Amino acid sequence: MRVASSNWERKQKESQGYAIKNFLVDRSMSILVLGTLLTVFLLTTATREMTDQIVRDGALRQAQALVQTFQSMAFSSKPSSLQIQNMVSKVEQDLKGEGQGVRLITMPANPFERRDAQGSGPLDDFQRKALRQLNEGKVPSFCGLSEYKGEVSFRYAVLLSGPEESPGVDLLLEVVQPLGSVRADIKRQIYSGAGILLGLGGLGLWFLGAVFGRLKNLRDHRAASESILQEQVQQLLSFVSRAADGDLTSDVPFQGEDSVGMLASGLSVMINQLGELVWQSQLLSRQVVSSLSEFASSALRQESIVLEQSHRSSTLAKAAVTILDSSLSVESTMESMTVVAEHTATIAASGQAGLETMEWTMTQVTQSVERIQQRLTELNDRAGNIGGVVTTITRVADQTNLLSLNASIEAEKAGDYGLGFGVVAEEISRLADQTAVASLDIEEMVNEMQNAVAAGVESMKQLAEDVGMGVLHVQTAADQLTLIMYEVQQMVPKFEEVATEIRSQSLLADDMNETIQDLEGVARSSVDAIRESNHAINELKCLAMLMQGEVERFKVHQ
Amino acid sequence: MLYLVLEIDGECYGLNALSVTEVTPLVELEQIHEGPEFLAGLLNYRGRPVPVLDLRRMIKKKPCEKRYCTRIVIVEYPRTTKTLTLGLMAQKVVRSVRVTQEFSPMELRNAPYLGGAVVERGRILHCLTLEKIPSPQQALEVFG
Repeated sequence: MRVASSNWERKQKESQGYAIKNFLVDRSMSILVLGTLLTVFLLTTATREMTDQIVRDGALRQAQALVQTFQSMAFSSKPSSLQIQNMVSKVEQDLKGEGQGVRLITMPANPFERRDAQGSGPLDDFQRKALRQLNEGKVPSFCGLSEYKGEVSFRYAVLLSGPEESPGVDLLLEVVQPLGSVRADIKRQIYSGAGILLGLGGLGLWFLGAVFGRLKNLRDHRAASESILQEQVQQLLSFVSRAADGDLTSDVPFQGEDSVGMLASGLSVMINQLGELVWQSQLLSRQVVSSLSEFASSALRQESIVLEQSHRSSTLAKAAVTILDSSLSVESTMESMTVVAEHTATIAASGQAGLETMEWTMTQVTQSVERIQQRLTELNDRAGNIGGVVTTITRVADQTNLLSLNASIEAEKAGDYGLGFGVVAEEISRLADQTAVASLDIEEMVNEMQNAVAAGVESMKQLAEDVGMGVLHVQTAADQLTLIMYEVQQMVPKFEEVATEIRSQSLLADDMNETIQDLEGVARSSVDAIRESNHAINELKCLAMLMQGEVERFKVHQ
Repeated sequence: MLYLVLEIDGECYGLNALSVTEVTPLVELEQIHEGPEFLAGLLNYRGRPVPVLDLRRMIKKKPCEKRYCTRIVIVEYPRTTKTLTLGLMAQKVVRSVRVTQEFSPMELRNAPYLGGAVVERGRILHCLTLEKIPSPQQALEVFG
């Protein structure tokens, strides 16, 4: 603040110096304007004397320029006379001035002949003089002031080679400019120059006046800005002191392009950035506090979880003991089961042996049945043979009967002589009858026997089929028993495996029990550690809250 | 008198033994398709063709079954000038019987060949009158 006030004083002194200087400048400008006006007047009056001199030079230059133009246009090659005429008329058009003109005078090409022509007719004094000079070849051109048509004129002459169609002819080109017209022309130029000068002077005056007016305004403005500056400094001071008290919300009261304004905007930027920083640190401290709270609560939760875990691990230990007991009992059961399975396998093996015997027996039975069947078939054949025999007997009986019948008929025919023969015939007939009856009986018996044998064969066939089925069943049973035996034999090592696994499991359960007990101890110790860390977190939370209180003192934009 | 007993479906018919030449066993007969139905065929009897009549066919309209006891009875059929040898085929021609009683006479218009009946061993025995058998007449017409 002190530095700022000393600066202010210095500026005040400087502005007083500026005021004195401004006053002096105002006066000198007035003097300058008067001087300029005087100079212009003097210039105007001096012009008349200078004119003639200037005219000479100006006319010369003009004429030279004209002649040069003519030469460049006409004599790059040898022109015809018509072309020359055209050129002349063109130059005359360019001149345009009052009384100005171009003349072409035809000359012999030979200088000696020209000398002869010096004295001849239409040439006036200037032309003769010019011819003389040019003939001598001293100068390329000749110029001078001379009277022409009653007026003082500037004249310029030059020798040119003639047109193409007349080789022995040269041309004397003469440019005439009346001096009066030239003078008026130059005067016009001078006056216009003076006017321009006057205009410039006025413009300068106006500019100076504007500058001085501006300076005066500046001075007044400085006087006004002095008080404004003081006020602004006061505002800045109060703004900074508010910021020092912790209120970072207030805005800078003004802004501007001057140094104080820049200072104010710089301060504003600084305070804004500070506010942003403080706001972020507030946010951070709140977050820290809330995180610590969460942390503390989670630590509490963790403590309870670990406690619960410890309870659970003790329950688990009990369960592990139970598992151990049950696995031991399962092991003993498995061992007894193994014994039972082995026993079953043995029984199945013996059963299989029995079945094999049975199968063998059945096969024997089948063979026997087949044999019996064979025998029965033989018997049937024999019975058939008996039938044949019986048929023979029957036929014999039949023949006998027929014989006896015929005999008795013959005896009857013989009358009394045939009586004895008739008796014999009757006896034979009775014998034949008895034979027939016996053969009938035999036939019946044989038929019965054949029927019985057929029935026996049939039942034997049935028996054979039944036995075959029995053999099949026995074979199936044997196969199944074999399968059972195989399965049981397979089962025994599996039981042993299971027993082994259960043994290892019981060992594992034992290990598990120990591990769980260790785990319980670890849980207990971790509960203690969590309690300690909880304490530390609470302390940290207190500290964070203190920090938050400190940071919250600052008021900032949200 | 001795009678040869012919049984036809359980009925007994008696033929006088004196009219019987011989009883022969049943053999294969030469068939005569154009003849009457009761003509069973021709029998080669000792080098002579003898027509054989089927008695069962004649009486019961059924042909005789071929059995051991089916036999052919060779008879001499009496004619005015000479006799004709005929074969009578009947079943169960196995026995002869001696009849002592008189046949009780009977005349049947439809069966003129039944010349009476007698009870023999508890069974009715019809007397078969050879001359009255109608079919032999027809057979005679056939064989001349």
